Amino acid sequence: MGDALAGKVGLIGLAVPVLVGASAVLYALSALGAYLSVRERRWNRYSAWAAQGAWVAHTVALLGGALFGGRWTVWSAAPGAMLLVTWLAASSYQVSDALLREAGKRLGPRGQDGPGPQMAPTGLGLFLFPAIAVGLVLADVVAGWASGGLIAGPDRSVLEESWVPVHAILAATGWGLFTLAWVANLMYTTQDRSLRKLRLGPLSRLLPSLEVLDRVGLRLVVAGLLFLVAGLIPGIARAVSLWGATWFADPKVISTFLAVLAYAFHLVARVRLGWTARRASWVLNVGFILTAVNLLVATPLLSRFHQWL
Amino acid sequence: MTARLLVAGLNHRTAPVEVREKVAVPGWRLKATLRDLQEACGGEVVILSTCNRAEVYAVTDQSLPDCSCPPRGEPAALVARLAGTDDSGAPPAAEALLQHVYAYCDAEAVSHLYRVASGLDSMVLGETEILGQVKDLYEAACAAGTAGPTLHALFQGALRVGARARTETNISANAVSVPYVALGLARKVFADLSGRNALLIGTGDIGRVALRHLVEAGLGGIVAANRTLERAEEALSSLDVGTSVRCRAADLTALPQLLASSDIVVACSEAPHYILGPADLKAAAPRRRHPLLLIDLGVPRQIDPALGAREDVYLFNLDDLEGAVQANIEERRREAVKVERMVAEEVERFEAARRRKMAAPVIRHFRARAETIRTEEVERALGDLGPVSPRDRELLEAFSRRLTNRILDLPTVTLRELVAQRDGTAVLDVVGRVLHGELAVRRETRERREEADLSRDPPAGLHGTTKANGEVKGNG
Repeated sequence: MGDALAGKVGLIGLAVPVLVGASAVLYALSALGAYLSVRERRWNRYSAWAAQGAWVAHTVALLGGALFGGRWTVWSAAPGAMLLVTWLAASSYQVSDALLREAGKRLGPRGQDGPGPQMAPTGLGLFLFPAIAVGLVLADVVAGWASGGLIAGPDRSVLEESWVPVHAILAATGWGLFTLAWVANLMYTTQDRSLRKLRLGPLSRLLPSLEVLDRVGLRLVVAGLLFLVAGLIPGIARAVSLWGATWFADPKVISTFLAVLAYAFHLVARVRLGWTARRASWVLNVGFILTAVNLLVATPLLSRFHQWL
Repeated sequence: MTARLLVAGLNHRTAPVEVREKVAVPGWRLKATLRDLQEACGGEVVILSTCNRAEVYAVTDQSLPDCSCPPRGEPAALVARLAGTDDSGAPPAAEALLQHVYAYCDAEAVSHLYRVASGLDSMVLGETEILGQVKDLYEAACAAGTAGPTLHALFQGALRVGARARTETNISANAVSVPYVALGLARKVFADLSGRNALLIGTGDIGRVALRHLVEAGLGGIVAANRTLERAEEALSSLDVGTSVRCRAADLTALPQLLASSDIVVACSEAPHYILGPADLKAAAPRRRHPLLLIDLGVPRQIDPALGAREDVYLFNLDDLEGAVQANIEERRREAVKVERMVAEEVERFEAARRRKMAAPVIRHFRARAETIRTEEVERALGDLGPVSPRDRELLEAFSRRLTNRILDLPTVTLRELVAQRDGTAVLDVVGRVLHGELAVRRETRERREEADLSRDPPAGLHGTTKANGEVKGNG
């Protein structure tokens, strides 16, 4: 019985990286389809199929990791956390894409020689999926390093405590929302540039209006901050009790607080200082760089007590 | 005789408006005209009458008129019937229309309608309105009972091609007139124009056209500003403004206040200098929460180009918009090539289905002949066998049916597929000749046998010989 279970766990351990790789490839193909659909609309269908296939593989990998433990567990290892962050971003895509399609249909201009109500594709996948594919490949690579014993394991007993999943899942959701906000910002700057240069080609047509992108991006930053801060509270409380005043002296923690500062400044600049989305876009870029450093460098390589490998 | 498809009509390319208006069919006269044409053609009829074209689609068993170009009198006569009767009670002379009328038959007629529905034949390439007009007029013919199976298939195919052209290509995606390009830009900046305010500076001729487009765009509020308030009020009163749009007139002295509450500014006055510059905008709203879209339709320009450098301003002048229109027209032309390919595919699909239907009577005849032979031969075999039990008779019947069906299945399927091919109707001729040849041989054989029966009693084996001869010759 025990051997059989161990066999199953071993099988899942083998299957998860394969599923992660497969979903990365499918996301990349979906992004390619989205790019081709700019010229040939029929590619949009294939892009959507690839995105759905990728999301299914991604979900199965996430569930496999959560059920059978190991490095792919979302709250106790960096590859698992990355899997969750990217999954949240991909899931948000399904929702956002549906909402933006609906907005495009509702607000699509009509007229004798104006565009018809066929502005369904939103182009979100074109911007989001490459980021997700890169994230998944990096997660696979990091998990590979870990299995090769390149990174030493920390004191894992803390990871068994009940508050850890709440802390990790809330924080991962926050990072996922920040990633989406950056993607919305990328779409905004692309659309802004197209309008200013009057390059109203298929890509510009594919993207929603500046106002929609701005509103979506701002709301994503607000939601990301709420989730991340909510996730940090139990983590900070436990860290103080465990390590006292030195809890702050960790690259992961420092990069997290810098990212929170960047996103908070973005909100202040937009809401209080009256900055336009165009002017504030560099702040989101800084925030995204800090997010990437946090997840891809600080967590697996530098952190003292977030080194979940 | 096989039913054939004809389209006869005229359009903006072949006839000036003075001619088109004579044959335009108003809605109140459509049903009567459809009935009149149905009587004339003796088959199915749909009329496509729009601002730019008047066409009759007909399916008729009568011998078709000459569809060559230029067509002879019959298509022109059909089109002339669209005009109804004049004051003297007579339709306009068909001869007067002859030089304007075109006519296409069968595959060319299908191709023509598909091109019309997909916007390839429109005055503005790729315009979307025609598809709705095709749908409405087809439905009117359905309601009048003048559209039959062939035109149902034809028009449903046309609606499908039209929808495909607009969803699978970008032929209708870009605006190709200055007002629509400007409104398209507004929709790319703002999510919903119904909550936005526009300021129109200048209410001359261009200003009034711009005002009409702004009203139609469904903006939340519009202020028409002019140097003199009376002129602005006059421009507003000349428009039938709906209650959903808040419109008011103002004079230009209130420009800073008006700017502060505007999201879109359209400048089309005739001032010889800039009437809007960075200082005006700064005085009106030093920090804007929403972007400002400035459309400068004036020559000379009315808005200082320096404003375009502001990050909360999107400024476009007449040259920008006309350049965008030209680029969009070019893109539509490129997309039209794809639509032409799509139309060719769909025409071939329609024609294949039509040819398959043409095979149906031949196949029916073929199988009926086989059934007759089977029945005859079963009866003959039963006669030769003498008394048989009902079960044996049933077995023999079932056996003969299975045998006939198995022999006929493959030729039937093959015949359908061969006929569906591009030059498949030639196969029908061959098969028709074969079947008629067989009939002739069998008729001849039967006559000979009857003659022989009259002269002497038939020997026992004669039936078999006759059958063998008939089948061999028939199959050859």
